[in-house]
Amino acid sequence: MVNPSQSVNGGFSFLTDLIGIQMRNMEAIQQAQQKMLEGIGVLAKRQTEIMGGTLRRSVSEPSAVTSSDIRAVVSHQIESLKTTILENQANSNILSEMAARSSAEVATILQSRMMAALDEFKAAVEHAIPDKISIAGSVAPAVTVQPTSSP
Amino acid sequence: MALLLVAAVWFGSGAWAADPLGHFPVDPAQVSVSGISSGAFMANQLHIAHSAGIMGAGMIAGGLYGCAADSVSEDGVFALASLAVGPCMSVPTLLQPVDFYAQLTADLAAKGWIDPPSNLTRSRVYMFTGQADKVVSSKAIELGASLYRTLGGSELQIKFRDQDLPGAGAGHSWVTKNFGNACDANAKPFINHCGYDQAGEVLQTIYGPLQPPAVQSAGRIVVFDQMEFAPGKAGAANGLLDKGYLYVPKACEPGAAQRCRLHVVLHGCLQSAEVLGDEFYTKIGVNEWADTNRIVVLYPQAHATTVSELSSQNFLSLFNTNLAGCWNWWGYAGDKQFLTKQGVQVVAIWSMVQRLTGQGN
Repeated sequence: MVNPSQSVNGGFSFLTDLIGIQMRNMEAIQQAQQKMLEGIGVLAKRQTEIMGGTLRRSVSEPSAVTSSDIRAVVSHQIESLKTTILENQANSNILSEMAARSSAEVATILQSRMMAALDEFKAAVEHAIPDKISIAGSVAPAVTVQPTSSP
Repeated sequence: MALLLVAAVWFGSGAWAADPLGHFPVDPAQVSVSGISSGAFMANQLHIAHSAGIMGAGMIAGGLYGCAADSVSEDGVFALASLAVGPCMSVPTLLQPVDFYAQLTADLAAKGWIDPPSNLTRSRVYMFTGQADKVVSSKAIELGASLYRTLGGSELQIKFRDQDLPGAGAGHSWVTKNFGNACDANAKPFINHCGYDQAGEVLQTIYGPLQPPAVQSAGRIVVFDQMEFAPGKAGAANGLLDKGYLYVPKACEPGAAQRCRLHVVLHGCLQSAEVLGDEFYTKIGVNEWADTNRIVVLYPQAHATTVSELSSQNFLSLFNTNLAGCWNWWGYAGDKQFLTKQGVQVVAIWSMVQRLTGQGN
């Protein structure tokens, strides 16, 4: 027979545990959001720097159009184009890595909180429910271990 | 018979533990470092971080301090692999002006994470880039030399060499007189013969005029345990191979009357003993110069770190691997101090130096 007062106390305790878990979940979400915002900030800063750098280089680039040698002009244009392609690829890689790192940090925070929350919930359940109550509400039969002969 | 089989498997697998690194008669005031490619970046990091204790450095096909760094915070340096393979190696137009790297160095020194850069004024530096190098752009290395000039002023002695080797020039390699690939190759083992004795040039830039090299090296190679220099002996997780190598000329054996110099040589990516066997630490020409000039040569070894070897697996694991066995110059293995005296690999190599000079435990 389960003692009703014990049951009420256990219920309050369980509720308190659940609220604690939820509070910690909220903290983790807040931390993840902060990391996400930081990541967005860093990305935006980097994009601005990339645009600034591109503008700076295009302004400082000596113009080859004034050359009378058509081959030199074409060659210069092709080299410029190749450089631009490589720069775009490198910039894209940098932004992708920053975004991926930022996402990975957020995912790490959320996953570690999820794992902790599951452990905490398990502990709260174990604490709230007396160990002799089975799922069907009946007292679990005692398990007897039969000694076995060695093979 | 069974015992022999067990012994054969044990030694064949390389599972035997090497002896601890010993103490040798080395003058702590004559310690220098050189390296190629990722080893050049690491040589540069060691030199700038420990400028009070390293008298000179040679950087071959690599080396611009903080090249992969994006920013500095209270817990270390935030670096990106994409900055390493992009601006530092193949897209030099995206490199920052030299003032950026000088400021980064000043910031790290202000935090006490590296020795004061003013020590560099007494240094001797050799830097090299090959005209046919298709792996690390010459501009990054030129900028590395500019940074040294900015930090060290006019007293610093820099020898910068490029574009005057035979044919198309040197590819991405440690250059020798007569061993390795064709001069303009950019392939394994990244040791090229160009009729140029780079080992001698590096050592004479640092130590001044030396005796000519021996025709054949006559000292001994000592295999030593590197694991004791890794935090928690977790070498693999931090890009360190289990064993390192030391070349000891006969004149530098324990009990020698005169103290010897110590030169640390750092291989590049895909050049450690787990890839090239003994090729790098016996064939690049340094040991022959060491024999006739009383130089003990330390060859630390990096290890190719996979995800499963990292100390913890998480969503950032892929950014922390080191699949080509490079030295850490972009902060892999989660090391935010890789540029400083607290960097895992910098600490490990410096501890080896201190052991050899008798200044460590």
